[in-house]
Amino acid sequence: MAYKALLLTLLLGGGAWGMTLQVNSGAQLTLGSFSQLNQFLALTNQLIQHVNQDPMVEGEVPPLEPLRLGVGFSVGELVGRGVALGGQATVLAWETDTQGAWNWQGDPYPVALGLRVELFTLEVQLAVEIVPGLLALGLAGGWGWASLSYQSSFSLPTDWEIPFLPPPGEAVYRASGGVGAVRARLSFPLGSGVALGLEVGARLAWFGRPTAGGTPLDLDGDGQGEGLDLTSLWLGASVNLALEL
Amino acid sequence: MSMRWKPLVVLGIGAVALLLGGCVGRWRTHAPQALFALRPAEGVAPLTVTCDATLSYDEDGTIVEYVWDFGDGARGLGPIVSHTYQTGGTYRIRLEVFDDQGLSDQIETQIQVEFPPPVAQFSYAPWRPGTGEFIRFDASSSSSPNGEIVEYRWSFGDGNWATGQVVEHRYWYGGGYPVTLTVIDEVGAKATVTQVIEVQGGPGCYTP
Repeated sequence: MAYKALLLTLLLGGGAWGMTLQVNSGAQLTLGSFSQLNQFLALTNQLIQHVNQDPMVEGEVPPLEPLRLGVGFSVGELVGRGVALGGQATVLAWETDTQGAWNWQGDPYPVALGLRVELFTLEVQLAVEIVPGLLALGLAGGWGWASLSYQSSFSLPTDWEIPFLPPPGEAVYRASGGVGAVRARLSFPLGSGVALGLEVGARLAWFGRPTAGGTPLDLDGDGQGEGLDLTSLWLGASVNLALEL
Repeated sequence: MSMRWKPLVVLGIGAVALLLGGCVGRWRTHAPQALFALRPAEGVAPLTVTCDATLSYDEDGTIVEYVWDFGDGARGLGPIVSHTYQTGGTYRIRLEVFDDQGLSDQIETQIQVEFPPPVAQFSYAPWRPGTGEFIRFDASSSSSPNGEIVEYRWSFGDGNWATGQVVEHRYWYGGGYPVTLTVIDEVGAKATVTQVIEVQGGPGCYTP
């Protein structure tokens, strides 16, 4: 559905002579909440901290940074003047990892744990120029594909019993669903239809529980699982090119 | 700004506000997260374990109460508690934490407490038996902290064996024979003891 809408927009845009075609591409710095995944990371950090503080255990494993900041790239096109319609594609990624080793009674206990979240979206976008050539607001909606790559090798000193341990192994969990975004873009014209853009926006992207081979994501093993909430804010810088059709 | 764009602007600002609210999650209330460490993870009864729930945390508040259920009918309160399991078995230890907003979380694990082994002992008479003479083996001094001993197994060191608390056996050749008693109590715990019996007379047939 999203593909069809995007294709229709491009075709209609290309045929609409007398309009303006705007093409933009840029980088994004994005801030997500990842509340459920970060709860798993906080739980893991509690475990790491507990072992780090054990005087009988040598070595230290750094705690995991929460999933917050990510980077991405976006390309889009808009056709119209004043009110423009078009499409855009965005790729975003967030990641966190840690590795180290504990030593207890002469035996090593290595730890390596990493999470990487990726999001790819295809959206139809509508932009309205509030201040022509300078400030535009945009709305976008479409489909997103998300993946969570998880890998963990986590061994604890053996005289401990702790009801939670990050599950060992590697898996890629996937999910897809509708996404939406709003943004405000400030343009700084450089001449000849070229402008630098500075934009802020927010994206709504809630995918529920992703699965890996039919297995739902449940890293903390509580049976309730974790949802993949990629709802996020972003700050972007872009290069915009305007062509008169 | 043209009047016809105002609804769109208002709509956009409203959407941004809604998304910001969803993203930041500032208005959400988070439940605490229960987690504890248990030491030792296994052992023989009576086993005293220490449970440390200071690993539990609350993202947006304070944990005010720690409630323990040790699975043997005993309960406890506090972030760090000790408990002694008097008898063997599999027990479920459950921790429930409550935060200052009344929210709670719980987590549980199982602990395997091994039964203590019985004590295997036996005496025999006569003290220096001869070949062909009946020897009386008596295991009635064996005991178990877990209850009754339900099985006595004897191995006489010459290829023969028997069961029973008191048994008799005789040897046809002189020499030393390792007699082994294995006792099994009502919970399945085992213990073994071996004594070497010196049988007088005749050619020796036991080679250690």
